[in-house]
Parts: sequence; C-alpha cells; structure tokens
Amino acid sequence: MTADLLTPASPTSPLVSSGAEAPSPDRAGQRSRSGDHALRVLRWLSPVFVLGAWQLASTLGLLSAETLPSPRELWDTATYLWETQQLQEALQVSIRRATLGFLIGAAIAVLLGTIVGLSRLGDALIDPLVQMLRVLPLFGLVPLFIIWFGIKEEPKIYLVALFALVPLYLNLVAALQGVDRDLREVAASLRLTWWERLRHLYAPAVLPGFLVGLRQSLGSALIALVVAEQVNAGAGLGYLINNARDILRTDIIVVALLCYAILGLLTDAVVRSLERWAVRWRDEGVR
Amino acid sequence: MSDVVASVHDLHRTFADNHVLRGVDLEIRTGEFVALLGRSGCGKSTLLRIMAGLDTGALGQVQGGREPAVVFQDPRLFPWRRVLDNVLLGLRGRDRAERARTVLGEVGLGDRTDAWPRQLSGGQRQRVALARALVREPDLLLLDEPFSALDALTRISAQELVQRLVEAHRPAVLMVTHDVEEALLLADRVLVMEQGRIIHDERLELPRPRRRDHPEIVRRRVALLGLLGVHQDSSVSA
Repeated sequence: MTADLLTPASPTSPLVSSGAEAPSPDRAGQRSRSGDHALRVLRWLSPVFVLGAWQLASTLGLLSAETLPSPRELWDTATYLWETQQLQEALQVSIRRATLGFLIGAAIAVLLGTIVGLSRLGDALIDPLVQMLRVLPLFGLVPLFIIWFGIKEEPKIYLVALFALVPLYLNLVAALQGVDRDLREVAASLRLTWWERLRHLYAPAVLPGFLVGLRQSLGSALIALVVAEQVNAGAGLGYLINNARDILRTDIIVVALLCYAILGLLTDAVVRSLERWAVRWRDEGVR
Repeated sequence: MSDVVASVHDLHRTFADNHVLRGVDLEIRTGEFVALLGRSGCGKSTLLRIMAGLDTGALGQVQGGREPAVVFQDPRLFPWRRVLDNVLLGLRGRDRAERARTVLGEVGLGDRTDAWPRQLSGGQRQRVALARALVREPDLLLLDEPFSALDALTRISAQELVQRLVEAHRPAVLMVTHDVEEALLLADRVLVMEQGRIIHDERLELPRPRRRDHPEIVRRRVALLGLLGVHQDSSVSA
C-alpha cells in the first residue's frame, strides 16, 4: 500500500475500516475462566477436610455421640428416616411452607418495589411503611401471629412471607432507582412505549440487583421457616426436631438441620446460575 | 425556499438562577446541515436537548422535528441487548429487521449484528448509535458532540461516515460541537453561540468533500476562532 494510511477512506473503499479499532480478542478472559473452574473445585477442599477431621474425632472417642454423632452415624440415621418415609413427609411439609410463604412475600415485594422504585409518589407513600417493617424485630411477631392466625400453617407461612419480602423489596427499589439516567433519556428520544421501556430497559437493568435480593430473600425465608416451625409444629422438619429433642436424639436434630442447609444450598445454586445468565452480556467474550 | 423542519422562537431556559438560553431564534430547513459552535456552558447542548424533546422546561416556541433522532456524545447503547436489537429499539414496521441490517451495513458493522456492545470498540459503538438514529429515517438528526469521545484517527473516519450518511439519507442536521474545523468540514451553515444567544450565522457554499487545508476553510477557521475568543497567535494548532 502506497496510500497514506491516515487519509480518510476514498469513496470506493468500505465506509470505515473495522480492523484498526477492533478490540483485541479476550485471551485473558479465557484464561481466567479456566482458573475459575480450578477455584470452584478447590472450594470443596475445606469442607471435605472438616468432615474428615470430624469423623476421626468421633472414631477416636474425642467427640461423644450425645454431643455430636459422627458423619457415619448421621448417614445411618438419615437412611433410616428416609426408608421409614419420615424425612420425605417432613421435607414435603416444610418445602410447601417455604414455597408458599416465599411466593406471597416475593409477589408483594415485586408489586410494592415496582411502585416505589418507579414513582416518587409511591416512594413517599409506601416506603416508610416497609422501612418500619424492616426495623421491627420480626421474630417478636411470632406470639402475635399465633393469636391472629392460630397454630396451624398460616402463621408459619406468613412469617416466611414477611422475611422474604423485605430484602427483595429493598434490592428491587435500589435497582430501579439506579437505572442509568442516560439510558432513560435514550428511551425517551426513541419514543419507546412503556411496555418497551419495561422490557428493554428496566427489566434487564434491574435483573442483577433483583437476583441479589432474591438470594438474600430466600436465605432469610429459610431462617424464618426454621423459627416458625419450632412453634407448635405437627409436621415438618421443625416437628422432627422438637420430637428428637424430647427423646434426646441429637442425630435426628442434626440430620434435620442439614436438610435445611441443603435446601438453602440448592435454592442458592439455582439463583446463582440465573445470575450468570442475567449478566451474560457482561461476561461473554469475543466470539 | 424549502420547508422549515424545526424551529425555535424567543427561547429561554433557566436552571435555578442560571439563565442558560436568553432568547434564541433558529429555523432549520429540510436537508440543511447546521453546526452549532460555542464554548462549554454557552447553552448549545441545552438548545439541542430542547429540540430533541428531552428538556421540556423551556419558555418560548419550540417546533421539533416530526421524527427527530439523537446521537449523544457517548453511544448510550443498551449493554444487555445485542447490536441488532439496539438498532431495532422502538422501530416499527414489517421490514424492520431488514432495514436495521441495511443501516448497520452502511456504517460498516454488517458482520457484528450479533455482538454485545461490550465487545465493540468505542468507534464501533458510536457507529451503532448512528445506525440507531438513522434507521428511523429522521427528518431532523441531532448530533450532540458525537465525535468528541473518539480518538483522533477514529474521529476522522467517523466524520467521513457522517458526511456520507447524511448525503444518502438527507435529514436536516443540527450538530453541536466545539470543534471549528469539524463544523467547517461538514456543515452548510455555521452558528456561534455565546452566553445563551446566537451571535453569528454564516452559510458555507463550498464543494464537498472538503479539505482541511482549503484556503477558504483556513480563512473562515481563523475568523470563527476569533469569534470564540481564540486568536491565531494563541492557538497551538495553527
């Protein structure tokens, strides 16, 4: 080429050269992805180590079965509870409470959060109420809930709902209020309808914040479930725990607690994978 | 005389105690390329935003375009939508996808329609923003310092591109800039704004494509810089 590279493109050449200004392929990104994978495997190291140490301490008699049964014994107890259908029944009841409570709380959070996040009037009218709710010690509501809703399923479901509501609401409001002003202006200049704004601007913009709220909300719903189930439960994991306490079966208590933990891990894993999907526009490398 | 696409009369805009526009009159005609020059804070961007309908707090008569489109200083793409979907935003009609692809081809990005905005360079993103504006066939194209965030080499090719696109689509253009040379290379008419008023309005009837070193461009550049308060002896790039 003899032509000066800096001269603007001649009328016959393509409008703009794309080579010079294209970003370099994202090699570093690929390397860090394989590094991520190795780190994910490494994360299992410390739990496995603790489990091994625990089993060893039990076998050597350093840890009595009344204090904490060995992993081996817990496995036997879990198998027994499973084979006698007790664990399935308890899980089914507890999961139903958690799901219903969470859905009610999340629905209210989305409704109120959307109103408050999008409208200053809504913010002025509704937000103070939720903030009051937030500072209230919610476990203190348990006796009130028993008086209002009895001792069956309702108080447990409503307590879970209340716990699920607050974090989701707070995160959704913050995410909505943080939507980029410049992009809102673009939406206005493109004359997007409210539905198009919701679909192309607000929903994708708040999704990461919403999912953070969802994770917190699921976690706190689970905590509420544990507490609510200690109260007059006739079924569920909490019932299993109460009964085991009366007959001093530490192993059953620990198995039930582990079930709560596994429920938490599972829901968290689901939301985490949703999060990865939601921000794929940020993470996907050059193809 | 051709039709007036957009106009303002006796336009005033005040922010708190700051009187940003103090009686602006302007008519932009079909197919006319108007460059609006001025120092930072002279009110030029405010005028553009009012004509785009993004600022409705002004006093006076405003008649924006029937179908205005804006290109901002930064591309302002929706990062969670692929390039093609960004161009399709708010576009109506059956052949919308076809039209969007055509315009993306015109800005040289026909092969990047499936990319995320993050995967593009700054210059490429600004070209997507141009495509997004042009695909709706605006009668008034509002450019708010569209090249100022680009590096010097990318800017030259982007200016070339805008010139060619404007010749092909023939919208009326109002381009806000602080770059005198850019105004002289692209515009049919150059306005200078100072302290909320238009203080200078001149027509350029020079053939295109224009060269930076054309004697007429050089002469007018010196005169316009003088109007903006920059004198030849104090100008480094002279």
